[in-house]
Amino acid sequence: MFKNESVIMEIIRLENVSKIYSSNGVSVNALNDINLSINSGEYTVIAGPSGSGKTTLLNIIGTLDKPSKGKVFINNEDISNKNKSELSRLRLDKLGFIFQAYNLIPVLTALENIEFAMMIKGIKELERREKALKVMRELGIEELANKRPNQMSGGQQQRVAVARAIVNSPLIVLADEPTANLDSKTAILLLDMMQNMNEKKNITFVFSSHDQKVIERAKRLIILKDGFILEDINNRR
Amino acid sequence: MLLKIAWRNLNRNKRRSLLIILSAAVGVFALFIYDSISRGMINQMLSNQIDVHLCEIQINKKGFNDDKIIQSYIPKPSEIEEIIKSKDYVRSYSKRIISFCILNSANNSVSANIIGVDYHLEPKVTTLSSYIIQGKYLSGKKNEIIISKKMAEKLELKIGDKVVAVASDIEGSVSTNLFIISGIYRSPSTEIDQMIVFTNLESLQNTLGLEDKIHQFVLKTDNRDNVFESKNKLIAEIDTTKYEVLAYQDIIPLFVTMLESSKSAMVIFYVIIGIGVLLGIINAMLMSVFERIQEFGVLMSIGMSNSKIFIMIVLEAFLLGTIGTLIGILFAFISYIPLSIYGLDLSTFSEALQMYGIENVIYPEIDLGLILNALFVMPIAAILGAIYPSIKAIKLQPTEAMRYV
Repeated sequence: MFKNESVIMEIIRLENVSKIYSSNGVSVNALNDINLSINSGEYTVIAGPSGSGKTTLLNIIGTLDKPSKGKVFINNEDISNKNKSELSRLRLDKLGFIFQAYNLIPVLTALENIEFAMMIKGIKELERREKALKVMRELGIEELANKRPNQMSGGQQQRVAVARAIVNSPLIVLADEPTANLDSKTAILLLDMMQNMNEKKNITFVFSSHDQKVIERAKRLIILKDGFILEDINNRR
Repeated sequence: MLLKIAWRNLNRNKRRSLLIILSAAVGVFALFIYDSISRGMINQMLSNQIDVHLCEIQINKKGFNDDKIIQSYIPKPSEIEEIIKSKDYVRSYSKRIISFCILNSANNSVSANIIGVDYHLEPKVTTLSSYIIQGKYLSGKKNEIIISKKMAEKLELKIGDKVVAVASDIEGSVSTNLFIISGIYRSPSTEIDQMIVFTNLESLQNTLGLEDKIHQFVLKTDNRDNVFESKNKLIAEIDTTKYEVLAYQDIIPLFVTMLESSKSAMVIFYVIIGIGVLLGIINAMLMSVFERIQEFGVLMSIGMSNSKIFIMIVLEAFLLGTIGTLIGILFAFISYIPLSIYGLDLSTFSEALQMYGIENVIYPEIDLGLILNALFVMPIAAILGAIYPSIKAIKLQPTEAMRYV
């Protein structure tokens, strides 16, 4: 699935990125002049208190939101002028997402949810079934294959969501508060799984979280406050 | 897989999906039953006009159809008869004398068209003999006459009674003859019942001094749908400077146009039902889209294109419309089968129906076009109904959609 790449390359680069939200004539600076570069194989956590701009930053990295100012490069490609459809394709090909609320498709089984990401990419049924089962086996969740989200626990759903995020071999996996809805034990199991993937398969992860369990495991920790990068600590482990 | 998701999405709110399916099914059912009954009624009206009296093709002396004067007779009927007999597409034919007369009984008098028919040939081209309710059909006896029940009541006559017919003969003189009521009929058409009496060809020829001359040949062909083709073949052999060859459409053009128009009017019915279903589907799909805004946000986030989201929503509506249509057609067929065998008995409205030339029992008729229309109307309405909600869905921003509660 993922090669253990020894060559470090820049995947994400943000240049002077600001984001201003306006509502009823009131402007809020969610991000201020952010400059950031994320390389392959990183296990980065963006931390900070509520309202510090963690999710906004993750959304901008994930092309779900556009910056009010500045430029975003993914794989050295400027995405500022890409249209909605091009951004969809870019997310499909290069990014994987893990959400706080799992967000699996309720009418599909676990296996179908994982396959779904490949289906929209146009991968043929046989191939995608094979790949989905392989990922499930690797993550130890093959027994969930025929269960629908409402038949699974939160932890199980989140593991399926991780499988969905990585199955298309993205450049980077973005996880927004992935443990927020999980109990401590389940959260640790999930984090072990993701850390293992990062270490053994060199999958790049960027988290947004204020969960201490997530922060503790970060190789790189970016602390945000009021839309500014307060600290950027590398090589923590 | 999109189809699978669309199908499973329908199961999320079973009650809502069921209501939409039911509304489409009821729409199709109503459309189907209404159309098949209307079609049966319209075709019965036309068939009654043709079968009871008019016939499919008439051959007259030129101008007779517009002005039925007694002098417009066919001078040498045998020449025309030879041509008719030689045509394999002519299934049967008959000969007629037609005149206006006044019928007098001891108590009353009525005006009528008296038609002299060949008692042997006529039952092969018309069905009047099957509408005799008292007495019997013409048997060739001298001066026997068949009148309608309405006329019999007005003239206060019964079987075996005598009636005097006063008419203008070939010389223009007043001619009278005494006829004996041999049969009383009740046709499906008030118009025929009020106006037409039948007697033997020879009796009327003698009364009017026409010897062996006749006014009209009436023909039944092997295929009513190709009547114009048959007419044109006859025209090729008959001298049209002397004779007129008329298909039933030429004889009752307004009536035929009216019937065709009422078939076209069904389109309005399709549109009304289609709009009803359309509004229902727009409502249901909008609700469905609003319930799933967060989910659409996720789908967009993981890279699903707008076109695929659009197709998925449209597919859901298409499935609702198609299932509704199939259920509607199924129930319509289940209702249609006994109706087509036993008919729809509307004898309560007997008088009103007779005015339009319709019998008490109507047999619905299915047309392939109707089934095709029904198969397309609802799914198309459903697809149209899903377009607006789909556009609403794809206009969403992923981050806003995921935050939507």
